[in-house]
Formats: sequence, C-alpha cells, structure tokens
Amino acid sequence: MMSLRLRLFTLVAAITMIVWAGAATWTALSTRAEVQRVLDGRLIEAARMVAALDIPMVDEPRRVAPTSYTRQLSCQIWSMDGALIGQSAGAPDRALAQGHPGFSERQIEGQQWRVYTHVDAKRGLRVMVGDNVSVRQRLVTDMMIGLLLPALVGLAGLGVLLWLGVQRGLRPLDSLARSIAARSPSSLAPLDETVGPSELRPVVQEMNGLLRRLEAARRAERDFVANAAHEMQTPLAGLKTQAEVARRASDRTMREHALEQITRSVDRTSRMVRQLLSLAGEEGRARDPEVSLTSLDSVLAEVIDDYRAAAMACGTRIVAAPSCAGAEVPMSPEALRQSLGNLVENALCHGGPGGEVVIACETNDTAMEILVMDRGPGIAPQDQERLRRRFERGAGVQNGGSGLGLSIVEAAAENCGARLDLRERPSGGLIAAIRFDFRDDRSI
Amino acid sequence: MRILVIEDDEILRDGLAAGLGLEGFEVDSVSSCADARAAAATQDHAAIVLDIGLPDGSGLELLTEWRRGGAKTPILLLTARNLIRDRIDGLDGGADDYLGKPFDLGELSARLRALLRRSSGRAESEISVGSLTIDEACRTVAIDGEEVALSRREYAILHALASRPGHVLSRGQLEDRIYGWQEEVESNAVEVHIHKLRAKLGRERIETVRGEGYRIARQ
Repeated sequence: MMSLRLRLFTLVAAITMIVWAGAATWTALSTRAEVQRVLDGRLIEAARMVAALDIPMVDEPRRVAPTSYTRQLSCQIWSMDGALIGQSAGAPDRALAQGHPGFSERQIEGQQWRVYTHVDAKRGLRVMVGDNVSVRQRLVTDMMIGLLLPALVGLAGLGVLLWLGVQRGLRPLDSLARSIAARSPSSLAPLDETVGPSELRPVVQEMNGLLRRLEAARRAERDFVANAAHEMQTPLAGLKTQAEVARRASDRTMREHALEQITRSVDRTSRMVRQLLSLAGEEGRARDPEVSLTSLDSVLAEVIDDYRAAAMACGTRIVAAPSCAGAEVPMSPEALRQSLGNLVENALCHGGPGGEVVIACETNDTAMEILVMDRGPGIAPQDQERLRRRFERGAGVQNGGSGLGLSIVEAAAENCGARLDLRERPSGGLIAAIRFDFRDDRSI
Repeated sequence: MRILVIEDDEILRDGLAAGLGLEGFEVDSVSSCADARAAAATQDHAAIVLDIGLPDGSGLELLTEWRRGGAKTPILLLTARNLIRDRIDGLDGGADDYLGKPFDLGELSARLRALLRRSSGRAESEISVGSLTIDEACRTVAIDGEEVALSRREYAILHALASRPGHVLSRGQLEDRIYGWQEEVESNAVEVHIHKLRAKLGRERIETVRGEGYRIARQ
C-alpha cells in the first residue's frame, strides 16, 4: 500500500493538474479566438481605410514605403479589370485573393495569407489586405507563452507547497504512530483519547476498546494459568508424599497401599488435566452463531454408557426420562456430551449411594431445559455463586473432583446461547438444568 | 509425638499420615475445619499441620481462631498458593512455619521436629540426660556414645520423658503421645514398653512415681 502522504499528494497534485490544464486550454482557445477577431477587425479596417483614400489611376504600380507597423500586413489595390494599381512593400506580386469580397485564405510562395477583400464598385477598385498567418500564429504563441509560463512556474511552486502542506496535515498521524511505538511491548494501557484531531479519535477509541478486551483476556488467562498451577500442587504433593512412603515403607502392605494411592492420584490428576483442557477449549471458542441441532437420544446413550461403571460402583442408576425421546438440542454433540457428562458425574458424586440420577427434557412456551436430577443434599443458596467458579468444590466431597465441572458446563452453555440453572428439586435433591430460552425476537 | 494433620485432599492426607508415621510421629488426620475443631478440642497435640484451602473454610481462619483462643500449639501451614503475600499472612496470623506444596516429606518432618524442639525450649536437636543422648534427626539413642536399638514406641516414650527431665508423665499422657485414634491400646502397653526400655537402658534411668506416672532421672 502506498504511503498515505504520497497518496494524498498524488491525488491533490493530479486534481490540480487537471484543473490547471483545463483552465490553460480554455485560456489558449479564447485568447486565440480573441486575437483572430481583433486581427480580422484590423484587416477590415485597413481595407476600408485604403479604399477611402483618393487613389489616382496610374499605369505603373506604386510602392508604398514599408513601415514597422505594416510589416505584418500586406495591401494590394487592383482595378476591376485585373490590373495592379498599387501595393505595399513586402507584399507578394501575385494577387492575395481571388477577388470575392470578404475573408479568404490563400497559399502564396509557401506562405499562408489571410486576406480581406473590399470591393468598391463605384470606383472600380478591389482593395485586398492580408495578414501573414505564420506571423499571426507567432503572435498568438507569444501571448500564450506570456500567459502560461508564469502559471507553469507557479504550478511547480504549488507542488512544493502542497507536499509541505500534506506533510504538516498528517503530523497528528505521525505523533500517534510515535506514541504507539514508544510504548513498551507489554503495555496494554489505553492511549490518550482527548488529544489529536477528531478524525483520529474514533480510531483511538476503537483501539482502546481492543486494548481493554486484550488486557481482560490476558488477565483471565494469567489467572487461569496461576489457578491451574496452584491446583496441581496438591495432587503433586500427594503423589510425592505417597512415593516417599512407598520408598521408605518397611512392610509390604504399606508399600502396596502407597502404590495404589499413587495410581489413584495419577488417574485423578490426569482427569483434572483433561478437565482443564476442555474448559480452556470451551472458553477459547468463539460463540457459535449457527448452532446445529443434536439428537439428545444418541448423546444420552453415550453419556449413560460412559458413566455406567461409576454408577454401578455407588449403587446408583442413571435413568433417561421418556421426555428425552426425540428431543433436539441446539448444541454441538461434543459440547452436549461434555456438559451432560459433567452434570451426571456431579449427580453421581453428590447424590449419595443407592439413588437414581434422572435425566429429563422439559419444554414450555418460553424455554427448553435439559434436567439432570439427583437425590443429594442440593446446593445451599449462598454456595450457588461460589460453586460455579473454577476450582471450587462442594463441601463433603472426598474423592477429589477438579472443581471445574460446572465451569465447563457453563462455558459450553454460554457458547450456544444457553445457561446453567441450579435449583432445588421439589421432591428433594438438586436439579441442574441447561436452559435454552426461546427468543421471539429473532433479530437479537 | 502426636500431631494433627488437617488436609482435605484424601490422597495427600493418607500419605502424610503414613509418611509422618514412618518418621516417628503419631498422626491424627482430619479433612475439614469442623473436624479439626472437634479434634483439637478433645485431644492435645504436640503440633498441627494445617492446609489453607479447606472445603468448609480457610485454614487461616482456623489459625486465627485458635490463636485468639489462646492455643500455643506449634502450627505449620501447608499451601498450594505459594505466594509471598500468603506466607506473610500465614505467619502474621500466628503460624510458626510455612511449607509450599509439593514438599519433601523429610523436610516436613525436620521442620516439625524443629517446631517441637523450640516449643519445649530447646535449640539443639540432641537431647542429653546424663550419659544418655537422643538424636532427634536420626531418631537414635546412645549411652556413652554406644547406640541402643529401640522400637518406634519405645523411642516415642523415651523421647517424651527425656524432653522434660524430672517432669512426671502419667500413663494416660504417654498413651496419648504414642497412639493415634484408630489404634487399640492394650491396658498394660505403657508398662510393657517401660519394662523393655529399662532392660535396654538400665533400671535406674526411668523412675516410677507411685500413683502419678514416670519420669526420667535428671542426674
């Protein structure tokens, strides 16, 4: 891309040139026309003046001494029968014109002549006054040069001034560029919106908006990494301690137990890493404007299959209510599977042994909800907000959840315009619902 | 030496109980603030290992609560957030020491021993009573430089008595020091250990104070 300065200068210079050329052409044409008109007028006047003189009829043509004025003009006086009565000095010997009254042009001895013929029928005279066209042309050219040369010199001066003006006019851009370049590479502090011309202000404001979003994203990322790193410390401490116990243990049972704990800890830690990755994935993904519909049945079958073993281990059944049949959910299959999986896992974990985890789908006029219901102690209202935050675990959880499950569901739901709703189950327990609000206003 | 471990992560708690047990501590372990309050109320511990992030509150709150209540038990804080600000808050809140996760089991027990030593008014890690010397770091006992092999429990009883020479400890106090909650204690267990100690170290080192308990002779 051409520099703004050069672009602006070229544009202004081109426009100036076009206007100037137009004006020059106009001036040239009108000057030439005016000169022709004036000179033609002079020819007529000269012819009449000569005709008005008392010219004696002589046999020998008389030559009038040339003057500096008449050098351009040539005059011939002819009798009606074709005899040359007199002519000015420097006039050609041949007749300047055919003899018709009025203007005519003729080539004589390689010279073009413009001639006015005055016929005086009473006295039997033809007066022809002619202008040498090349002389006329020189006059016009000289006048044009006299007019246009100063303007041409002025044009060069104008070019220099335009360049300086463009330079000066674009100085705010330079100072903005300098103030951006002078910042440290890591600085995301906003630029000063109050200085600079009004045209640049929207740019600066937009840029500040971008900087703010970038700063927020960077802070979120930094917090996330810091939190994630801290959260990994406890399982690592557990692993290290158990490893040392296994190394030092004197009896076999103790060593076996420690090794078993190490295996469990590795499983849990790797699950936590998986959860962290899926949360990062959900949060990194832009909100999808076109969400495809997913069949709830097929995803549900997969989720129930995934958690069959876990459910059996705590004597709980996972039941899909008949309302789920044929339901279509505006969420991608992966996001739905992940969300349902996390909610089912929570329900199994908190629902207590021997219960039932029910998955249902309810639709009314305003919304569709996918419900995961358990018979656990539920969530106290004051804990609602806290448990949605990352790395926050419910009280009384002994088997070390990552504290990320609800955050993942929430992020996935938000990505497709839904939200996570946690509420008390009227018959006891907790309902975790992914709620899709129907919007009447499609323009939103 | 009986200590209380408060840590919500099940695997780490289990590891601490086993690991500190191997280092010669008797460990009671709990996983929440509520259980910790109950444990501290019913039992005297020589030291407490306290995790900051607990499911029903912060370990720091528990710490200030105990300190305000006048508890002088040495407390070592464990935390995953190993930031300077946290350490300052912890230490200013009344903690005696601080360890960031993940830590080395050996370092944790050395720090605990140091805390216990300081709380009993000693500076060096060797206890000497007459010709008897106890090296806490290696958990070895020697008489006139000659090492004597002791079982874990025998060492714990001797260490408890030798930490305060001339001070009488009852049978119940000794039981508390050397057995955790989960262990069944035989009614005459302490007598049996005392008997074995006397056989290894010489009769006159541990005196019986009739009706009160045992003490180590000052000499």
